[in-house]
Parts: sequence; structure tokens; C-alpha cells
Amino acid sequence: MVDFLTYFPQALTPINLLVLVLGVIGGLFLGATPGLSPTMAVALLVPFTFHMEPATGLVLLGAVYTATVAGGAISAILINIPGAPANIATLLDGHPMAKQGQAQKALYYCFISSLVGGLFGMVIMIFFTPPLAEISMEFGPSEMFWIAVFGISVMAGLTSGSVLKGLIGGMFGLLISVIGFSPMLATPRFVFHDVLTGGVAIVPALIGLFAIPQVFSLMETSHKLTNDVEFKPQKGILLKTIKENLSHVKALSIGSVVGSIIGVIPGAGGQVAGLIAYDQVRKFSKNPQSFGTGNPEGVAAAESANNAMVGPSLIPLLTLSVPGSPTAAVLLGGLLIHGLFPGPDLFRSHADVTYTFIASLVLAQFAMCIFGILMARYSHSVMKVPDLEMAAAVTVLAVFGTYSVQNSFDDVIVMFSLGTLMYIGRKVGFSAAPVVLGIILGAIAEDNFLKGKLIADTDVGVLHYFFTGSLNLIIIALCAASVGYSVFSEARQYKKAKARARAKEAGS
Amino acid sequence: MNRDAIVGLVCLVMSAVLYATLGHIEEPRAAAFPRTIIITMGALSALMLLQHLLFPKPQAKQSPFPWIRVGGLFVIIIVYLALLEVVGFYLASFLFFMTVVCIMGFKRLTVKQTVSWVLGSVIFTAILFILFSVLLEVQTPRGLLI
Amino acid sequence: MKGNKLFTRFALVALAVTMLLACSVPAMAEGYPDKPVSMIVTYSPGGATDFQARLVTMMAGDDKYLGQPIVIINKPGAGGQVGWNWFVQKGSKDGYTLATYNVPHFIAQSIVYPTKYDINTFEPVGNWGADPAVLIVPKDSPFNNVKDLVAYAKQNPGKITVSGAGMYVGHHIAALQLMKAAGIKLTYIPEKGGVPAMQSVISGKVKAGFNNLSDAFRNQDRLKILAIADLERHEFLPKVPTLKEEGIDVDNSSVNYRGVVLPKGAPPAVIAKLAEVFPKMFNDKKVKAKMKASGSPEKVMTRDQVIKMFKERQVYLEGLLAELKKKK
Repeated sequence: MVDFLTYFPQALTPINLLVLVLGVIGGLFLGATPGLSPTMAVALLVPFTFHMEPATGLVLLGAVYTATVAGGAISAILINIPGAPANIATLLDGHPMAKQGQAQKALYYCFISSLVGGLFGMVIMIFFTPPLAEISMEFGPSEMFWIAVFGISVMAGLTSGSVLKGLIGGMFGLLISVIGFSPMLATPRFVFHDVLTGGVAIVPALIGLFAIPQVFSLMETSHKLTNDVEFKPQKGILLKTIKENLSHVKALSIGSVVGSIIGVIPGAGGQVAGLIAYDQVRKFSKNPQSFGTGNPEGVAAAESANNAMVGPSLIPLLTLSVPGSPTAAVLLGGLLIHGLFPGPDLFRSHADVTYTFIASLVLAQFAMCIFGILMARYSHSVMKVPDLEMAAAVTVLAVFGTYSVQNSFDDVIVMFSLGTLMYIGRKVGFSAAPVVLGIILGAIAEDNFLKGKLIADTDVGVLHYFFTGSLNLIIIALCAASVGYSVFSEARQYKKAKARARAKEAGS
Repeated sequence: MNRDAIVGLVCLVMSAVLYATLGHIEEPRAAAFPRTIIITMGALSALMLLQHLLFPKPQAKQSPFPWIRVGGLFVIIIVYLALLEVVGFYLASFLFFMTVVCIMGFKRLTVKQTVSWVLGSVIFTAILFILFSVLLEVQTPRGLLI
Repeated sequence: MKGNKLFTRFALVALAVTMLLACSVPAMAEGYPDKPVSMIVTYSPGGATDFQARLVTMMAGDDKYLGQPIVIINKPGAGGQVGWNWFVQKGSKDGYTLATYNVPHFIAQSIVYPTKYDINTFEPVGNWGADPAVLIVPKDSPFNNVKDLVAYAKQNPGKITVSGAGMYVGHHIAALQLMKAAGIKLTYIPEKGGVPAMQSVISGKVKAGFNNLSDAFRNQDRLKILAIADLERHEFLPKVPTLKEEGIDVDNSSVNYRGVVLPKGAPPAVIAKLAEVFPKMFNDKKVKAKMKASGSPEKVMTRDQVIKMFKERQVYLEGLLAELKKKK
């Protein structure tokens, strides 16, 4: 901490501040573009840092990382397409809010919660790096498998309608994750067509599942020229919203804590931080039915979790040279290029650069919030675009975003096919969120199970391997609690609904 | 049979078909995970089918589905995708945008509106072009024009 | 509807102009390159190949070399198969689409799977790096040298788990070679990439691993590096013996060579130009300095040397993998 304060002023040189601000503004825009996930954005910028001073280059990368994570929420709220997998939970309540003419408020919520979560994550990172680094290494195949199972247990809760449909959708997502070459066993599976050889990449699937149904439903109503809701700037709501937002202590703290914990776990976990936090906040809420209809608490939970993840996700990278997430892997390149080898050495011999980087991450949180709020003031102009033009523009963006991920036209075809299927699915009551969760978790669950089994067979046996060890038992207990609670609350809802129906009958 | 029962039936049939295709996976260990999922999915679908057969819920009447608008857009998008690799992303996108708004927004078609559409789409594609192709060197489908 | 007609006319004119422009393109092979060149990297952003590819091509825009920047395009999937298949099937053959290669990965894949590529579909133009596989064990492992490990494996066949970056990559080949040469049985654990494989070793989830020398070099405080699967010791790790020195007859077939290829059918003039420019560019002082600073072992080879190396590997791997298939 002392070191951190000593080096903090170094981050404040004019050139670093300029780079920070530009990085944040650029990052917000990039993040808002579907397909340009934080990983992509940082990878695109790494070459720019070749010719910069090490500290300045890292300030740029840190600022862009922070801002793109939050920026993905902009498109999630305004046009119902998550900019990155991490923002799925944001749109569940954010977009309904925008539809009701509260886009600006939803965005304020998003950036204020991002700031709270982001700062929480940074504090965790600055104070608890050594112990958390040890914990992060504890996560082996068995622990990761149970984490994925825990994620699957969240699926049922992500549909506003029937639990069964949520689960079926989730299973469908898990099946999609299986397509292509099995990375463990190198066998092709469900490759019905050449375009599927490489499997279904997550970002194209994400864009297809959310954007295409949205395009078609916009088209259904696009001949109506008048909007039922008037979209105009909401003036003078900033202070009120800040106050209101900060009063959702429960949502913010659950979001921040869940996000930080998931951030420490290496692997693709970061993408599901928002969804898991959202599910927890809903479970602890007094009126869970209001989630999914424009409850600002949902936005607060999802966004605080997303940004809380940023700091802790860098812990394994900085201390152990093991990047815990795809974005961290790209950042590793940014460090190496300047001869900075992550590890304890980083904090000793290159303390100036390292702490400048960390300080810039803290500053970027504030810059992200300020510029995000400034941008939110113009959000009504996006909402004002008539449905017809919006549908056309979103299609173009979806194609662009999908193609740019890996320059693959095959991905565009996969994206559109999945999207059309999802549109039909949506018509009969399925939601996209459990499907995406399934795609993300499927690979984690299967790979780690197979890996665990291979290791266990040489050693203690599968049962023993997966069911002993304190970390395993803790996660299994969480899974049980999550499922148990879902069943319990389902039963309670059912009783309530019955009682209400009876009261209605008696009344009439 | 109400709608949700049919959905359950369709999912059940789909699970059965997928189960039948499992044979193409050579390595038995690689088939274990998909098999588990397909069986679970089949069971859930059967449950849904039964639930809605035994306890059908009354369903709200749905408004007629706008086949022409949605189907029309579907066709235009297919053409757009086919053109992408022929004429390039930016030109194809511009053409797509104009086609959609001109055909679907037929009733609103005036000279003034058309001009604003042309301007709007040019600016939209130009921003995409400058931001991504020039500044960040992101690749887009290439064709005749860039 | 006036606007519509006008627009159609405009579009037709635009089409005509661009067609004219398009027709004149092939005539310009002399001025190559007159626009940015793209390079397919068959692994995801952040991996060692991606990182090094970005690094060694950073000087391409300099007039000394290409005078045009090289744009990296990631096409990951199925251990590189997706990218390389795309490259030979759909990539442009005009010299504006390059790809990185990884030996022995692509050669092994072309032997085991029905891929669209093999050594004859690529026209190499230069090699920039060679990352040997090293045998690593966790810091607190009871094995202090290769002999300990082999002795334990002889008594407990199949009980030693060895992680690596996937199936049929250099690490897997090294593990197969070690098993064959020492007459032992190990359990190979294929992971999703070098990083998770490294993590499994550091955290002791597996008993040993083969990993990139560059990554092991950066993590040497948290590991024990037992041996290197190459013909000679490496300048980064002068104290680490080769497997051969330890009495195990393993050559350099698992060394991960990285370089750049054009597809077969590219204009000969372009192949000649790139084959001349690329090795020079890889030897640029700035590139060399960055490679060294980032702990990436450099090995510059010319087109002829690479072609020879491809052929040698092909023969060796066919033999090794044929035996493996028979056992199955």
C-alpha cells in the first residue's frame, strides 16, 4: 500500500493523463460495438504500445480494458445487444428500463455501479494480492468442474417464464458448446457442415442470439410510426440517481463481492460474473418477479460485478504470470513487449511501472464513470431512432461485429442461423440468456471433468478426486444451496399465485 | 393440444434425433458429455409435454403474425449476406440499409426522407469505415469496393 | 420514387468504376505490396504465437522492408486446423494473405487428420523463432532430475501425469518421444493451451509437464526445469541439460518452430521478395531486442532451410505417429 501511494503521483503526468482519457473514451465506444469485446480491443491496441514508454503503454491498455468492460453495457441497455458476454445480465433489466423512457437513468445506474464495483475490485487487488494468488492456484480441474455446475444451476432462474424452458434452453447451449473438435480428445463432434469445424465461437453466438431476434421483433412493429413512450433527455436526475443507486447497498455489495471472487478464479469465469451476481441479488430480493421488467437493482448488481472482476482478474497474471482470463492473456503481451516479466520481480525491480499501471486502473474507473455519464446524456437520440432504421442498422452492426472477431464469413452464417432459431424460440417463450450461459459453461464443465478423470485415474479415483478437498466441498454446498433455494422459492411463488387466484375468485 | 405441449413435443423429437446422431463420434469418452445433456434435455422436454397435456393453461390470443414484414426482412438479409463477399462490406451494407428502408418504409417514401436516409446511411458506414478500417485496421469482408 | 431511381443510377456508376479498378489489380505485381498485407494467426490473441507474430512484424511498415504494415488476423480453433484450412482453401493467392506456421503442430495434424493442408501446400518465406519443449515439475516435486522421474515411472507405469498444450503439438510429441526412448508409460493430459498447462504444473495439479522454454524461463522461480528436448543447451537456461545428456535419446523433433508461409500458388515474384525481406526483418536490431527482452527465443531461418526442416519433420513424424496408431 505504501508503495502504491509513493508511485501514485507518477500516473499523473500530463501525457499519462491524456492517454488515460483518450483510452477511456475510445474504450467506451469500442465496448459499445457488438463483437469488439475487451479482449479484442486490448489486442488491437497492443501494437500501438510498442513505440510508447512502458508506463504510458500500460496506462493505455489499462484504461481501455476498464472502459470496454463498462462500455459493453451501453449497447446492452440501448439496443438490447450485449457488447460482450459479460454484459448479458445488464440487458435483462437495463433494456426494459430504456424501453420505458429511462435509458439515461439506466446508463447512470450502470456507470455508477461500475465505479463502485470497480473500486471495490481494485481495493481487493491492492490489499489482498498475495493470499488471493494462492487461492487462485487452488482451482484445479475438479474445482472448475463444480464452478461450471454452479453456473448451470443459475440457468433455471434466468427466464422470466417457465423454469423448464430455461433449463431446456441451457441444455441447448451446452450442446452448442460441444460442436467442433473436442480440445481434450481431438475428435470432431456434430460437425454437420464445414462451417462448424472450429465450433461455435462465443461472440458470434452471443450477437446472433440477441441481435437477430431483436431485429425481427423491431420489424414486426416498425410500420407504426408513433412511439408509445416519449424519449427525451431526463434533466436533473443525476444527483437523485446517484443517491438512489448508492442506497441499493445490497445489490452493490453482492455484485462487488461475487464479481471479485469470480475474478480471482482463473478461466473463462469472468464472463459469467454478472449473471451469477444478478441471480443472487434476485434470490435475496423481496420481490423477485420485478427482475427482468426494468428493475434498476438488476443493472446495479450486474454492472458492479462486471467491473469488480477487473482488478482481481489481474492478480494471477501479475503475481504468477498466469493470465486468468483471455483479456489478461493479451495484457501479458503488453507487459512482455517492454521486458516486464510478471511475478514477484515485477513489484520489486519494476515497481515504478507496475504501480503506475495499477494507479491508472484506479483512475480509469473514475474517468469511465464521468465520461460514461456525459455520454448517457445523449442516449435518448439512440432511443429516438425509428424501429425500421434501427433494425437495419443493428443488422449491419451485427454482421460487422461477428465478422471482425476472426474475419470469418462462416461465423456470420452461424450467427444468423442461430439468431433466426432464437427468434422462433423467443416466440414460444425461450430466453437467450440461459443458452449463452450454456455455451460458455459447457466447455469448462466437460474439459475439466475429462481432465480431472484422467488425473484421478492415475491416482485416487474419480469419486475421491471430485468429492474431497475443502474448496470442492464448499462449491458443492453452494450448488446444493442454489438448487434448493430455487425449488423452495418456486414452491412459494406457486402457493402465492394460487392464493391470489383464490382471492380473486372469492372477490368476483 | 396447446402451444407449450407442442413445443415440448418438438424438443423431445429433437433430442431423439440428436441422440441418434451420437454414433458418429468415434471416441467413446467424447460422446459421454453430449449424451448426458441430450438425455437430460429429452427428459425435461417430456416433462414439459406431460405438464401441458395434463394441466393445460388457458392461453392468451395472439395477434396475427406479420409474415410479410418479417419474411421480407429475412429474404433481404439473406441477399445481403450473399452480396457481402462479392461487393464488400461497406457497399453491401449501404445497399442493404437503403433496400430495407425503401421497401419496408414504403409508406414514408418521400424525396426528403430518401435524402435523409441516403445521408444517414452514408454517414453511418463512413463512421464505421474510418473508425475500424482506417484507425484500428479491423478487417471486414472485402469485395470490389474496399 | 425519384430518389430511388437516382440512387440506382448512382449505384450502377459506382459498380462500373470499381469493376474497372478491380480489373487493373493483377497487373500490379511489380509494385507489391501496395496495400497492407494480412497475416493469419491460427491461435487466439494473447498466446505465444500471436504475441510473437505481432512483435516480429512490427517493422514491416518500414521502407527498408515491406513499406506496408502487416495486419494480424486471428482464426483460432481445433488446434490451428480452422485457420490453416481456411488459409489454403479460401485465402487469397495474390500474396496479400500470409499465415504463421507452427512446426510440428501442422505437420502432425496433416498426418493424423484429413486436413486440407500439408507441407506441400505451403510456401515458407522465413522462420523467426524456435521454442524447445522443456520438462518441468512443480517446485515441491520429489523429482530433482530426469533419472528420478524415469525411475518412478518404471515402477509406477502410467501414474505420472504430464500436461501439455493439446493433442499433437510439440509438447505431446516430446512426451511421446520421452516415453518411447526411456521405455516408460506416462499419462499425457492435453490442455487448452500452454498457459493452463503451465498453471497445472505450478499448482501441482499434475506431476510434470512439457511446456515452452520461453514460458518456463519466465516462471523458473516457481518450477523445477529438469531437461530440454533439443540437441543443445539453450542460452536462456544454460544450466538445464538436454534429454540426451541425461541419457535419453530424444532429438529436436518437438521444437516449436514459428514462421511465415504463403499459400501454394502465390506469384513466384512475391515468394522471392518475401523470402528475401522476412529473414532480414526478423534480424532487425529492434526486433531482436524486443524478442530478447520478452524472453522469446529467436531463430531466424531462410526459405531453403525451412523447406529442408519441413521435410525432415514429415519423415520423422510419420514414423512416430504410425507406431502410435498401431498401438491403438
